[in-house]
Amino acid sequence: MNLKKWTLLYILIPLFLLVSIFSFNFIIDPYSITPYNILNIPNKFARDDR
Amino acid sequence: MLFNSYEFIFLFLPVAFGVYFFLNAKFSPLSAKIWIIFASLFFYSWWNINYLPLITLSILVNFFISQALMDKPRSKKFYLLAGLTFNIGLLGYFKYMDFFIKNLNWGFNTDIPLLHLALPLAISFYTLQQIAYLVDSYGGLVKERNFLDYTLFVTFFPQLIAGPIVHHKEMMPQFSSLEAKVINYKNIATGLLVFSIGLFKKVVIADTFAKWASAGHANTEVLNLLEAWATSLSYTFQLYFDFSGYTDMAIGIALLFNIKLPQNFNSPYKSTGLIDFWQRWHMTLTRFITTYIYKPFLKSLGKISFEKAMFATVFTMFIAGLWHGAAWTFVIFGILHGLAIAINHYWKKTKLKLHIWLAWFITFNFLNLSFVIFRAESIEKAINIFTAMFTGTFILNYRWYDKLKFLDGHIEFGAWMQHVQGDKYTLLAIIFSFILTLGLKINSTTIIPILQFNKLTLFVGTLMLTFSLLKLHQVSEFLYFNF
Repeated sequence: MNLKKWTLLYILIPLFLLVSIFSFNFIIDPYSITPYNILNIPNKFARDDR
Repeated sequence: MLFNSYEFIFLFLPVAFGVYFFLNAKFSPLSAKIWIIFASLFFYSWWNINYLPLITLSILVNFFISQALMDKPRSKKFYLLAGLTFNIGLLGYFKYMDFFIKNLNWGFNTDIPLLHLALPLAISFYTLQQIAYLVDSYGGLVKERNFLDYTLFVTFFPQLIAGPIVHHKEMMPQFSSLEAKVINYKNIATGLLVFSIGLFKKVVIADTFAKWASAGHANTEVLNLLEAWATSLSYTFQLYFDFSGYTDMAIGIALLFNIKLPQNFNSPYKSTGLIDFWQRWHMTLTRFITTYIYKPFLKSLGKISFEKAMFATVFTMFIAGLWHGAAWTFVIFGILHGLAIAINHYWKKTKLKLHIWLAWFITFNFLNLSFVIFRAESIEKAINIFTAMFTGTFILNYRWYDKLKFLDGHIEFGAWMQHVQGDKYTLLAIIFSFILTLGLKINSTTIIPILQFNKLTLFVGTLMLTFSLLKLHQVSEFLYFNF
């Protein structure tokens, strides 16, 4: 792998993972942290993991 | 601005980097240099802009005195004295004045009010670097005299706040070098990887230990034996991973700009003696105090003898201790280390050999105990921890009672690590850190020349970086920001 490609991937992979994790958390919002429920999920987790 | 903050990683660093190489490519290296000085001063002022006039004044005064030292050799003693008085005076006023007044009030039963001055950020670091420049100007050892290069040598943001303590000879030629002005992908790749290692050390390892160390030091009166050992070991590992993590980040960031900072740590907890330790721990501080305090002081004592050299060692370590902070705990820490180095030298003279593991065991335990004094808020609190470490009650986790009930009557069972806010992971984290600091043949600095940029390093590096970035919301300051 050449250095330029390695460097670009090194910057892009964490960015992609971070954006994915934050987006997933926002869309699913398993603990109802936000006031939104984009996917209309009826039952979410309680904050004490039940 | 902290290295481990979103605003630094996603805004400041990309902008500083991008504009620097854009100006180099499209305009002139001079404009890029001015930009990086501006960016460094912005980075410095982020905490408190009130500190900015002080660092600017310090740079201007030191630069003009150094020029006078080189241009007016007949009055160079006067200028050196003026420069040293200015620097030590500045450091003394801002860092040690309240400590001095407190002791004066205590010793002479006076009631002089304290000044309550806020310690200007990085003053201990940039003062040392500039003293070295002045002394070398006096000795005729300075070749680089460009004002912008000098300003950049003092303010270059990766090393500005907490070192490594750089020397003008290794930095100023790099700032004027052509190599620094073009994008170098090898340096960028290496820099990113070393930065990620440092960030991981800081936010994942050091900050985990910080919670236990702080809780233990806040509850020194009630610690049991295991909690006291957990407190001391947690701080010993926190200090190392925090400071070496910061240094790795600084080295990594500087590499993005094609600047090589000196190595500051070399697996210090593998040391088998105190002399060995100070050659591996905060190496740039050791270099400074050896060149600019120990050697001139020893020379001033006249004909060199072993006893005089040991006296100079203890004196130098006393200064090094005091440099860390204005408190008796730091003075005791410095003197203890000075005495231990002297004992180490004496032992070497006897030519007696210790088994390497015994030597390591003595050294590590001395360090662990001395870091209790280094971290403690007062000598009384340090004594509380020592008392608990050696005479405290041995309390095992009550959850293990069923398996270990044959020990009932000999040891107590109770809440596990309650006063250090610890859990089942405290012991595991300590064992893991021993493996990490003792078991690896390489460290984050020695790995640089042998790094391979392949899928494995990409996977491990991005994993560490992503995991660290996810933990950034729990930022805490670096320990060495306080010194």
